[in-house]
Amino acid sequence: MSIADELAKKHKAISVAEFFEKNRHLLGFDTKQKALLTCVKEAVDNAIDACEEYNYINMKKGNKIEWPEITVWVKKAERAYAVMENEEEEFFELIKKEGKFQVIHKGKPIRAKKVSGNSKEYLIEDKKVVISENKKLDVFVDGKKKRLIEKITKYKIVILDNGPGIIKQQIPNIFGKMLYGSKFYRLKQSRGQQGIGIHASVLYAQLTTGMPAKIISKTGKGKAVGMEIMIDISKNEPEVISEWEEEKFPYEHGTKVELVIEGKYVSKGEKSVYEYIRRTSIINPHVTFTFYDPDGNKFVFKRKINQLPKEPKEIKPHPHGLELGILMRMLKNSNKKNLKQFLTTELSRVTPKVASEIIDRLGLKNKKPNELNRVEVESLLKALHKSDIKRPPTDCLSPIGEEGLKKSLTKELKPEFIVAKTRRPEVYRGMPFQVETAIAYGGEIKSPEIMRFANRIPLQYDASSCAITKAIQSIDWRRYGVDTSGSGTPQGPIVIVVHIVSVWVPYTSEGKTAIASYPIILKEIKLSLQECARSLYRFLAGKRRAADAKKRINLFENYIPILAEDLSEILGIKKERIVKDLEKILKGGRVEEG
Amino acid sequence: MKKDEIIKKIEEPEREILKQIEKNKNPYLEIPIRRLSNVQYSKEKRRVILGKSISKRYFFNLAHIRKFVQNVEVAKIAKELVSVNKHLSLRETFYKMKRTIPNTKTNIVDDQTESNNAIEELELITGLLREQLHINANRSGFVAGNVIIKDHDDLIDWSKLGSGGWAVPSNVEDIEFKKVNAKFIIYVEKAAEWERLHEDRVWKKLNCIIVASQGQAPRGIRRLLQRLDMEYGLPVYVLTDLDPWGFYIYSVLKYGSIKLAHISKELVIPHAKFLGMMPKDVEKYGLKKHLIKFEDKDTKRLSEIKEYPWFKNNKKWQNLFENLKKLKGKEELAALTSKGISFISDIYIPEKLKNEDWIE
Repeated sequence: MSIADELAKKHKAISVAEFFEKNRHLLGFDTKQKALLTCVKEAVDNAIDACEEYNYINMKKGNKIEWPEITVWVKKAERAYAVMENEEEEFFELIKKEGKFQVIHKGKPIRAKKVSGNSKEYLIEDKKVVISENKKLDVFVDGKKKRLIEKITKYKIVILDNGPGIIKQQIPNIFGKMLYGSKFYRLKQSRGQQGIGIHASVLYAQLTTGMPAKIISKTGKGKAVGMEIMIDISKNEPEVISEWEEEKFPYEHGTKVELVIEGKYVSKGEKSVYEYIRRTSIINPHVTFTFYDPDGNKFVFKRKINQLPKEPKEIKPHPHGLELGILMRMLKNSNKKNLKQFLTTELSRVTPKVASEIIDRLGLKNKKPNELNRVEVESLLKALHKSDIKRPPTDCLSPIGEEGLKKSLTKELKPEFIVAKTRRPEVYRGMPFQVETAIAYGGEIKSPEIMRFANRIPLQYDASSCAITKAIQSIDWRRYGVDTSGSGTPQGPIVIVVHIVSVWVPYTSEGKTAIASYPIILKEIKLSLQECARSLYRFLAGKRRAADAKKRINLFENYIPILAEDLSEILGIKKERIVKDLEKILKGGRVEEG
Repeated sequence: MKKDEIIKKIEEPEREILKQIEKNKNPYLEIPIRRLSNVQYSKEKRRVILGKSISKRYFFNLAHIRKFVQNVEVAKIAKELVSVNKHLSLRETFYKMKRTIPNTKTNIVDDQTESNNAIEELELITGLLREQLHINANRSGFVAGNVIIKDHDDLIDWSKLGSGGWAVPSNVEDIEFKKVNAKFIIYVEKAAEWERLHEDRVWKKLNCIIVASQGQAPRGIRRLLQRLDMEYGLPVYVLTDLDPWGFYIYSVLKYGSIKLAHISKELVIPHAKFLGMMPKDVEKYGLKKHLIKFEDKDTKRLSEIKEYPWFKNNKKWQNLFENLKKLKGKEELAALTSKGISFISDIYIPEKLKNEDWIE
């Protein structure tokens, strides 16, 4: 059952907060590190979607593309340190907020007795506590320096885009009401797919820091609107805390979202925010990303191609992948007046001829879609599965394409060799999907890396249960001249990129972190990678041959002085002359004859 | 051959190399092939001779270059040795050749088989003998007998050298025979048997020379035996264990080997005769219980030797092989000791000689 189903059933019965607590892991908030990443991710996904949608409409109007620009800040909002009494007991707490320190002892704030320059003096339990902050923060208790243990850290994350902006009336619902969204059961390639994301982030911020979400949006001419939103968790209704007009906004239109959350920031690694943005920029080469990390470092990932992705289209389910349950539900909810109309309009690629033929054969001519019993639906499904029907339409999918992938990866990785392959669309369970892969090798690449993507978002968790990892490990890489580790993962200066696009990506769980291992999906990934690997093999073989030739020349060069010296000694002729002559023969390529 | 002539012969292939280099050609050496396919038995000369097949070894060829340089390196060393009239052992030559090629981890030679091979190839290329190149093998082998020789400036009496006898050097070219008082030579395969014969003073009793090596006879001994045969007409009676390896020792002594086919003329002993041990001796002296059972490799070797051109049409030899095959076992010379400590000296050899019980 999907989250949407669960939510639909439960959201009235239990409070949203309760639901959130119970489903943290499904929503991506199970650890502080993952929570921070999830908040960034949901906001960025929305931002890219918004920018793209803006441009699709913009282009239809015949206007110029306004290239998406997305900026992300992760700032330290508050830090708390524990000053310990002894190994186990906390003496007092030190909180840094907006640059100022606050001392909390047994839940109560303590005021300073004396302030001199950068140091403050307190009296706690008759002990003299001195807190001095120069370059470093130091705490002295009765003259003894104490160690600080970092407790909770709060971050402010800010995401700015140059998308269409949101009209004032919609802001509260978009950010402040769980379930508000338009993506449920849409068979369309989209980043979000379940449409929960940003509301959960707002709720998470509220639950961990008590801070409202701050949204500033500008839709065109006129001033930007600012709004602070919270969720009334008993009613699941948005609550506007404050509202104002903002004079300055960096773009003519766009949205800026600010959330203060409890989280853990890691600066590098596969699961870091930095890596998320880097990979998102690789798989969305039409977007420019700027990232400011908590230390204020700025990273810019420039737009890599001058082409907007083709707009994905929504489609109807394809008969070959239909399952009984889905078909039954579709029939039941259909308001079509006859079965033929149902088959030709609510399923994709069923022609009137095929529909009539099936209906006649099964004797269902006079039935309305919602009148079919289970046995009839089963025989209908069987007939549909066997019928000769064209593949689902492929214009519903929007892969990056081989050229785009190559350009993007070349700019980001600067490899010596790059190959990309976009497969033809395939179908699993009636859902069209398409696999594209790339292998980059050598150059500035120093260590192996696997990048997994689905519908243009990077997958950073649960690598081992993902179909992509399994497909990679099922390939005998050594046959292609690539070393592998014990688990069969390629080693060396190699980056493997796998991107799956689908109208419905089959994730292993609602956490949307790993792709389920349908045989057809595994097969497509494997075939695509093998095709790339064959090119890589040819490249490596050529490289080896060149290296061998070089080695051979080197070897000859090393032997020349020896022969020259011996001949010179035996015959009493100048060595240099013989060396010169031998080198001439070598350069002339007159070698290995005979 | 005079020193100048030898040096000229050593220089010849290098001059050829230089000529090719100056012509802007990949330089090569021409080396006669030492393989079964290029070795023949000359009925007329009664020895193994090298055929006319020649291989070209190129300098600019990955598979050839190292050996090419080894060949030239040995030539350089030989020229120096001949010029200053000094000698080096095979081992010393190996160390003189062994050095690392700059910028690599490769040595010109890694073990002595490589340098030995390069020396043999220099013989092939120049037509000179190793001894003429001033490169010697270790002494291996002993002689005793009523003979006086001159080695450099020393007179050596082979009858007055105690229990050890005279150790035969690898180069016997410059030895002068001053007095040879013997009617024939007995060659035994093993040092232990030689010591037996020496202790029993066989050379004195039978008026002969006794010679031994350990296993396959080295070049020095073969050349010494050849000279005594050719210069003094002394027949050489060969005593080996009764097994295919023994026959092979006899075969090499008399007809030559593939490896040294290029110098067989200087090594073969035309009047060598096989005295024993023979299958019928096993019967006659009741040694059957000492037979060592044939292994597969023995049977295989025997059938190979049977096919050697000089054995193939020899009825006596074929009979002997057949009889050995029937025995299905090997017999060592040492087994004769079971009949008495000096049985071999007092009875076995004298009886066989008296009965002319040998084959050729």
